[in-house]
Amino acid sequence: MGLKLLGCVLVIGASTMMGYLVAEKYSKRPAELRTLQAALQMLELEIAFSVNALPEAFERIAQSLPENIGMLFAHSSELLKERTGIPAKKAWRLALKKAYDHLHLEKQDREILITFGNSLGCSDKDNQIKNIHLACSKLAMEEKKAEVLRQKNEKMYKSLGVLAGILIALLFV
Amino acid sequence: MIVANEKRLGISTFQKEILWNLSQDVRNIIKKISVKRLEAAEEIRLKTGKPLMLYDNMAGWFVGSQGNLSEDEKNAYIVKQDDIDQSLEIMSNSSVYAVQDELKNGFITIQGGHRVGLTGKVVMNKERVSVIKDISAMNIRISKQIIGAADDVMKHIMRDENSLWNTLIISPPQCGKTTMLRDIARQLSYGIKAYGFTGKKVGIVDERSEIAGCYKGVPQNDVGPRTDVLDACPKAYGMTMMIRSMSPDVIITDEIGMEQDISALRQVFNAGVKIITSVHGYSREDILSRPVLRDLLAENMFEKVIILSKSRGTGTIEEVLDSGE
Repeated sequence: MGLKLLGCVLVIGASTMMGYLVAEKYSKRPAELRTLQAALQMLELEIAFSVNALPEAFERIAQSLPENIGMLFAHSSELLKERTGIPAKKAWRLALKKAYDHLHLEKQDREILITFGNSLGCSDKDNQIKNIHLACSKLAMEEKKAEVLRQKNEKMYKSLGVLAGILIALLFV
Repeated sequence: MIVANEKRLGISTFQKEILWNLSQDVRNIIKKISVKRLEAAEEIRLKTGKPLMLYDNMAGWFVGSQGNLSEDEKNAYIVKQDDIDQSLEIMSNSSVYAVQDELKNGFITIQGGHRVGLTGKVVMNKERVSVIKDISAMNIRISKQIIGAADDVMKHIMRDENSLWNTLIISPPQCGKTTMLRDIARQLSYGIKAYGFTGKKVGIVDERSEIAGCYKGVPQNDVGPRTDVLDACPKAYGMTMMIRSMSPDVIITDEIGMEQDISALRQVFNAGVKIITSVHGYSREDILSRPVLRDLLAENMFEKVIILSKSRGTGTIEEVLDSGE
């Protein structure tokens, strides 16, 4: 009997956790999209007012961001500081590849970031700022959609996890 | 002759400031050139589809892919467009927007005060250069500060222990006038013990970033402890700004010649601030033949006029004209 009980607890526990993990994807994505917008606004200030070059600007932005999104900027900065002559676009893409696994973004979010990166650094101030604004508005749109999805799905997956666990446990008993 | 006192760019400085700004392929070739040759280098030239070249004070050399220098272009390394693109990415820190204003003037200044000249296709916008694109050639001009370049000229500039003459330096191109101005700034700023001359507050208006060689606003050349630099500022604005903001004893600026420069100079004279400046030219007569500058000399604002040439090495003082005494 004791063993059965332990099994039930384990099954319910595992299933609950899975539910929470799936829910997490929905709950974290809007927050990350918000942070990304904030980061791009910081970049706008760095470009428009401080006129700092990208390696320096990225480093400063990375310092004021949570680690997972900060990594995107920190890694780009490191790559550019190596002075191998890679364009900012390439450094950004490589950094995005590295940071992507630590983020809860969807494919369309990544597309926005890649498109944004393509014009990174290679034009004058005005066009850089336009590019940032464009990326920000696209991210804001995704954030709105993501927020709706979160409200719809977060609770559902959490309770689904618990309930499915109980169901399995009952079937076994 | 100045060359004897030349402060050579040490090889480690060369690596940090020059080598690391070049594309990887070119970097690896330049690395193979002997230290002695590199330390004497004055220019490195890259041109798409043309041989890589290195200029020293004697001649221009074609650089082979093993770092061998020769007068024969046969074995030279041919520069690729990629080399230029990569070098530009590095020099601008992959941030064109940060150097866009410099790009309009056709050059960027890199750490160490070295100047990189660029040519390519010029895009105009309302009669002004908006950007240079498709850059296909670059010339890295290695700047070397020559401590003591102004040693011979200082005694002409100093009036007594505490004051100096308004001085105009007339010099043909490549005769070391900027080098001389830089050293004048340094010596005036430190003061000269041998003459009992006390240090002066010096204001440099460095329109083309050549005198102080600023990188991110910080002079890369030693221009003295009492020297303030307005980097990349048009001379006409800069001179009046400097007077108002930093109360200098003397203003140093390079290559005057425009109408507005002259009226700014008058303001400096009227403010009782001394001025040391230079102008392109070969002789006093040459300057007198140019309408804008003629007035300036006629007004006798400059108490000393120093004419440079290359006749006994770069920076030879050919003639000193006195109108102050």
